[in-house]
Amino acid sequence: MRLSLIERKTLHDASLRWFGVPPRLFGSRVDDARLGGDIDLYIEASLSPQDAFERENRMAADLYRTLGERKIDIVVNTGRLDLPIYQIAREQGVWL
Amino acid sequence: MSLPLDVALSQCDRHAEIIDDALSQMPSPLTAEQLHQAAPDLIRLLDQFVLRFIKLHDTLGTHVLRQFAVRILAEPVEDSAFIDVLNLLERRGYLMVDQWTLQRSIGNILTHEYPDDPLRQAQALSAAQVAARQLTGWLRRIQERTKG
Repeated sequence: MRLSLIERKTLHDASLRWFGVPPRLFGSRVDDARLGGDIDLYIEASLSPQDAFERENRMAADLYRTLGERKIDIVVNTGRLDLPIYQIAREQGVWL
Repeated sequence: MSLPLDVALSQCDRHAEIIDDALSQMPSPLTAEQLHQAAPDLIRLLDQFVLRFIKLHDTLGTHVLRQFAVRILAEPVEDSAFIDVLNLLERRGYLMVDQWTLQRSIGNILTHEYPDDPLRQAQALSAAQVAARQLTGWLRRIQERTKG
């Protein structure tokens, strides 16, 4: 996993704060052989779509402030849909 | 390398004009149903709106805010961290840091397409409508202070 300990803790704490659960990291940052790349997070939470969207947005905004203007994508699965990316994130994802 | 302040502000002005024009022509807030049924003209308008919203935020962040603070407000933030520039401008009443980062997040969400989830697309576009009005308002204040 290509994240520093501080970054892991920051992402973990932000997810707990806004969703009450830790996130899973997936995508290129899980692969030690790759360079750079976005930070892709996957979170499962039973929330209304509007609430989930607002929490996701506020969490990302917090992270831009604490980690700098990095490219952070947060995928929130509220159980409303069953998208292929959820499956990928569950299979690849590493708990933070 | 940063653009000269007047050039960057001129670019921002163009983005803001197009945003204002687009906002006046689109439903607000947008629903998933409206997006699903959107005619090509509305899709083009939304694409233009999103592009200009992201560009306005980026140009302000990359080329305007620090120069505005240093050259117009005479604040010694040439070498400060960007977050300190934002905090300073919030104290001086030109923006709100939490809203700035929210705008950044909305812009990032809108760089992706969500063909399987029109509700999410509608939520992001509706949030961007609110954010764009706020951002163009900040730009107008910065322009007024720069002229004055």
